[in-house]
Amino acid sequence: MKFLLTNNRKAAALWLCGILFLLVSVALGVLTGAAELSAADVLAALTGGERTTAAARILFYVRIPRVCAALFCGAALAVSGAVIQGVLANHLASPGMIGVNAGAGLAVTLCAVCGVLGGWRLSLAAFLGAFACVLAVSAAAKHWGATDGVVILVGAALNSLLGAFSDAVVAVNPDVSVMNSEFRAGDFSAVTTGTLLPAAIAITAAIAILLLLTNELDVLSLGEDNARGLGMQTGKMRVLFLLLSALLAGAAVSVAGLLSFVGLLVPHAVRRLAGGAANRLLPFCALFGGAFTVLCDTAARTLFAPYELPVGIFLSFLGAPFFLYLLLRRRGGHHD
Amino acid sequence: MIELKQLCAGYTSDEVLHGITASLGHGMLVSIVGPNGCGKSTLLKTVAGILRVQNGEVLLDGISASAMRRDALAARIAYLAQGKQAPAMTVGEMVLHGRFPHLHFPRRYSARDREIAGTAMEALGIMQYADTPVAALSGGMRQSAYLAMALTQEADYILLDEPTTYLDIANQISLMRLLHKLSRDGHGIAAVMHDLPLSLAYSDEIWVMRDGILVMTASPQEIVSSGVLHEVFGVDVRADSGQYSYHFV
Repeated sequence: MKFLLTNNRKAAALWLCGILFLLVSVALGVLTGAAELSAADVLAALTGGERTTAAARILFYVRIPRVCAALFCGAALAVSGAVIQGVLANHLASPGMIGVNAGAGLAVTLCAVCGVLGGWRLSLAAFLGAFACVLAVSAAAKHWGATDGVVILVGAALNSLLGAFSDAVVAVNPDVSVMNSEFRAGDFSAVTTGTLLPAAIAITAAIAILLLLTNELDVLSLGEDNARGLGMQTGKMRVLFLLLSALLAGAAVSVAGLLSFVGLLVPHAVRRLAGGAANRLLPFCALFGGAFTVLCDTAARTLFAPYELPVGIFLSFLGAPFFLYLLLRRRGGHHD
Repeated sequence: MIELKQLCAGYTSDEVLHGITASLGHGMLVSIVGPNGCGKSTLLKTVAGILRVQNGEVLLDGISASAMRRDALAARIAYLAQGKQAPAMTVGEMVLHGRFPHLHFPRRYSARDREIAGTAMEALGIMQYADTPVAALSGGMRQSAYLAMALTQEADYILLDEPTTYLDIANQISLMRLLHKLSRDGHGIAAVMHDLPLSLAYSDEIWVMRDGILVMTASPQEIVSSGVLHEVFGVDVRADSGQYSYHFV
């Protein structure tokens, strides 16, 4: 049977483009910044044993952790967005829009009050905050229907409420510095190995599990009754997907703060390029989400030199108009 | 054979079906008719294992369906819901998901699964749309794609909730002919229908429901002559000579 071969050829071409995009983004991310590094500097630092030169220090302690953080967080948020959109059957949903990031943000703030600024406990708390929010939105969508209005309004209410809680926590604990403007916008300037390592492991594990469940995600997108008619235990599967998407969003927030719009922009772009079947959507979201976030972070810290914009602000400039475009397009009767 | 014995079911604590007793055998095409809200869709969902049986039982070849695993039941009974969503995937990919209940984790489709899906698409004349997004299909084609998915499921029984809705008359007749052919190939088929003439023309048996009760199960001729349609719908149906000549009067 020769059907689906067209998609395979298209997917192969996209893999090639995605890997090239990733390599270019990583190269730009490593080489450019306040201190320019040449390819020879990087090569010497990578092959030299000692990390004593200025180039080696910048590379190993600033650029590589930052590029890795952007890669992992971009991939996590893009995949999380694609999964949430599939499970809620709403393509306007994303971790930033529906309050999932804000839930993780509140948990991170509470951790900071308790003196936990990195490690597994921080990632776990961020995951729990994100999971509580994604469950709340899912329950609202089940109760009132997963229409754009319900999902966006519940998300806006959660964002506002959880933001207020975070502000209140910081107001009564003025020494806590976690809820600063970089954290609110989303930024990689304060990335450390201590915060990145547990988050990276959680992100890798969650994406690996999701890649094993792509057929389940597709069957779920056929609608509740059709999925159950195909033998799926939809309730359990829905909770599993929400749990994994919350793990991804929570891990990203614990590293980068409240980074918005990656989970909205990337899945939509990938859906256009690769189609919506999860076996292509999820891996391409991880690839393009990571590369896109690295590129945006590099642009945010170099385009306005000597000033550095938090990457979240840069993403909002791109993402907010795109969100409005999607909203207007859907009101015009178009659906992806 | 699917046997329903004093079946009671519904949503949460509300009982919608009250003591339904009927059977669906291999090679039978059954139309389930009745006014809106009488429990037709609830009946199909309960037989398919989507809704919990509250009282009575559904037996599949003598075994209680409630005791079967959901995927084992889905491998025997295919169910197509009323709403036909347009998932973001191609027709071929969607049809292939009909193999879902036959596979175990990590559920990867084999060449054999693709062959079965391809055969189903060819049977329904949609092979040329295999690489087309489902969302780009017309209502009739989308219905065919879903039916191909059900055929790919290779279930003995196929339950369809309002399969002719949104189809033009030519596609409605074409679909009923296809269901009739599938039943002659050995499938047991039950479809919730609103179009009485179509149901009467193509079905082996009609199940008439009202207020969660199965009022009558009989052949189309017996249903027409019994006057039950007048009792339930408040309309009269007259049978002229020939299979396809029932008329409202």
